[in-house]
Amino acid sequence: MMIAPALLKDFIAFLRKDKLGLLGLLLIAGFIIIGVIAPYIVPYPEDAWGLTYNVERRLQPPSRAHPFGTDEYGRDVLSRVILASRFSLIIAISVVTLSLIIGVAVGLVAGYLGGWIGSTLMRVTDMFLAFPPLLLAIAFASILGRGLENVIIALSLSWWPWYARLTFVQVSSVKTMPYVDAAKIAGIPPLRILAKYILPNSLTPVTIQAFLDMGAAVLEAAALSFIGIGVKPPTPEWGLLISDGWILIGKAWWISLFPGIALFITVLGFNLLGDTYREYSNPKIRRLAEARV
Amino acid sequence: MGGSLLTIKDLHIDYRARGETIRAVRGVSLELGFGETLCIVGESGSGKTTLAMAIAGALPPNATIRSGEIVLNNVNILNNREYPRKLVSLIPQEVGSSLSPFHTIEQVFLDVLTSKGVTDKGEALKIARSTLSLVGFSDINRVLKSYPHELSGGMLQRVLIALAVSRRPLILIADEPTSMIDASLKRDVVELLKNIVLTQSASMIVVTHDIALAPHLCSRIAIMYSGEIVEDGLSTEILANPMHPYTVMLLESIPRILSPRKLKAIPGLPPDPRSTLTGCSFEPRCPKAIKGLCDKIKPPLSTIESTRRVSCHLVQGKEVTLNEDPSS
Amino acid sequence: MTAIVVLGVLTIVFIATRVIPAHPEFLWAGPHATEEQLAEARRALHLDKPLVVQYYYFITSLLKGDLGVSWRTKNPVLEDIKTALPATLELAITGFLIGVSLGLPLGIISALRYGGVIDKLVRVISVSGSAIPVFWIALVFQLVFSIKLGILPGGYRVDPSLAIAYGFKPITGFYVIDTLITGHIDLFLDVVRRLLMPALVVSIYPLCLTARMTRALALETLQEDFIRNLRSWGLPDNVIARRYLLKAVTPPLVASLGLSFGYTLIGAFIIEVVFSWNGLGMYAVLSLLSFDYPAVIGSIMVVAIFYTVINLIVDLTHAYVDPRVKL
Repeated sequence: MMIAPALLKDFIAFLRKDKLGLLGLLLIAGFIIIGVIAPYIVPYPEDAWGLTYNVERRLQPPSRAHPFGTDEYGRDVLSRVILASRFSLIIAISVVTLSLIIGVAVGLVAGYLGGWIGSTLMRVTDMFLAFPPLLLAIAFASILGRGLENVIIALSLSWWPWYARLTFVQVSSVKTMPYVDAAKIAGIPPLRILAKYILPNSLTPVTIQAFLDMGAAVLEAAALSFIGIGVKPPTPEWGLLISDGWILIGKAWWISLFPGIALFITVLGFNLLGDTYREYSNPKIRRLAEARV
Repeated sequence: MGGSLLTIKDLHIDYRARGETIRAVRGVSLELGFGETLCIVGESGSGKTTLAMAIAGALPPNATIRSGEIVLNNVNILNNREYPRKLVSLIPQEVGSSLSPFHTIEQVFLDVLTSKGVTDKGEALKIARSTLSLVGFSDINRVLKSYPHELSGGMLQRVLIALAVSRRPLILIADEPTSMIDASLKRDVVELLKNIVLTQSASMIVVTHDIALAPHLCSRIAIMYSGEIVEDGLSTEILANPMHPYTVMLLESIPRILSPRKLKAIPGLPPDPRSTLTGCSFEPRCPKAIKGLCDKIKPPLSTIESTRRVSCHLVQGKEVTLNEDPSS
Repeated sequence: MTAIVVLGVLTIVFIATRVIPAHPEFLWAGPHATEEQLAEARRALHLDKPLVVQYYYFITSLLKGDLGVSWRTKNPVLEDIKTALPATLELAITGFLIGVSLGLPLGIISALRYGGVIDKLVRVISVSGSAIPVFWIALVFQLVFSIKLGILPGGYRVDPSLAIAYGFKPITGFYVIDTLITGHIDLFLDVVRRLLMPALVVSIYPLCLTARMTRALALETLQEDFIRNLRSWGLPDNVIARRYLLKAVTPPLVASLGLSFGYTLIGAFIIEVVFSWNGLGMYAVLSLLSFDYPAVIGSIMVVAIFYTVINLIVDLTHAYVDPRVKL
């Protein structure tokens, strides 16, 4: 996939001067790294995967052996929290990628072809956009049932319309650009025009948005798991871990607290970077920022 | 000429944008007396608008007054950038975006006059009405109840002038008053401004790129190039007898309808405002530049006759005329 | 137009619910049902008819305003929702109002003092706030204020013993109003105390969003010519902020706030679950978990209609506050 390198470089230059944005980037990097190496750094691997039941170790408060305490099955909470990051990472990447593929395909076709095909496609897209964001995901998830793959499908189904619309708007405007007309007149075949001119210039904002949306995907997946229509136990997932500790919140607060902190920090990272990108994309505010530093 | 109302000494103003410093005003010194009219003439980028904004107390936050002095009514406004707002009224150039789209003209007048100290609403409305009629409105009630988008460009400009005048400022600053106006209406604006200066006994600074405008409006002209004043003096004298090569070329580039001459543009571009140059800033485009002198040593702004200052090595009490180029 | 959209989605949901085998007759008839009762249930729920016929029943009853009967509670869904909705609205609107009224001044002050300490703080708060998982922070609030500190009740809209003692019956469904009307002050205070914590949790998202949007809009507005002109004409910052910034910021703010109310509402649903708040969210979640599809569909429809109505109101308000927009 081609991404306009100039835009990226420009954004990176802007980012370097924004401490909060850099912090966000750091947190995101941390999340990704921990997510990837999780199985290897987990102190109690069998606990993490939820395969154990140790009665003697049940419901212990945080200690040196178990910095985050243990849950009602005697499993080390720290291990569960660390491994959960991997599943959140998987969910985030899958949802975003899937939604991108579907959304961009729809938006591209609708935008490039225009006419009644475009309108119809956009009507369908609007059908989905008529609902508040999480609602559709909840609806689809409840229908599909619990499970990691179902969560990914449910979230992707509720997410692709945003990318479709974004792509549609981009493609529609890029289509009218003079350089596209020039290419058409020069006799370049339409598929090539699509690939070389329209696609790269339309995809960049959507792709960046998708990357930043990963935080929201993690959050929504956690919400679904918390309610009980998300990931299936004993798969560790932050939302699920929080709901595990819900009933015992008075007696064993650590079971819910630490997964929540991990979730918060992860989403915070994406939000911080996203906020910086928002400031960067807004020319008026960007001018202010550049004038100060 | 009365005592000096405004004295500027060696003023330097910088902007920060995109991480770079732009030196907009580079060492400007001038004086303005009570009741005087001064035109600041220059190309875009010459620093004339920045200078005017500094005097009006309307500099943007990313502008810094690096050094120098501005003394207004015996108050040094260097550390008090907002003080001028009490005594100076700006008539902005951009008319379309000059007023809040969500407020009627009447509301703006009330707010402006309240900050001036006129707390009685009836009194404020009286002042508003009188200035609106001064600028030529007949259906004043309609204007007062209108929103900016309901008025034409010309009407808005007159409203802006009225607003500025209603504050009884000591100095009126008009930023490019004629550049947004159709040629046929330019004269009306000029007449209006002249009338205001007469009746309000205020000093006026007009910022413009159109040197032809100057003699109609102002008694004095200051010509700015690349952040500096290169020539200033009485308008009639400068037009009759320009001394700085840039001034000469400016005057020669005015299109004259019945003249058989070809239009002469000034070749080249003004220098990059981010850079610091040695020597005269106009030297790269000056046909009379002397290599070894003009590019190495900056000519000081020196008083030639009692009313004239020029910054050029070649002017030592004698005229500068450009030889006709054989290619023109 | 929007009606078609809503219909389309409901059709999709309907198809999905019928395609996934969930055997609602078990739910309907209860766990100890005989084969006969199950067959009876199937007939009552039209499950023995072809899919198309079921769809026909579905659409026609929907149009008549009959949302069917909940397979779980056995009540008409419409009745259930009518009871539950005011609870949700009470919570969501209170939280939303708190959030917005705090977020607005924060955003404006932050913009006026761009780059300063307050600005950075507000930026951090608004970004963090939207990263906090609502369900988790609700739990944390419960833990801290209810369990550990014991200063606020942890759930339910009203103390059951007090309600019984006073013979409390809901009138409008908004307990805060109802208890005021009946004049029982300690009941009123109890209700308010119980509303406080969940409402605060609900308010987090709108507060952060409002602060962030207001700040951005205010920063944009501050660069407009007319602000510079007003300043140069002597208007002090507080007058500019109160009259001109606020007015300029309001139209676009109203638009995005209206849309964000939908998100706030969903958040309120989840918060209801944590605080045992008997609103639409609680109802919807319970229905989801028990595969009570009529109730689920009914809830989705109500939320969708709500969302549409809100958008309409937003458009109207926009036209009202912005003199440039003609209806």
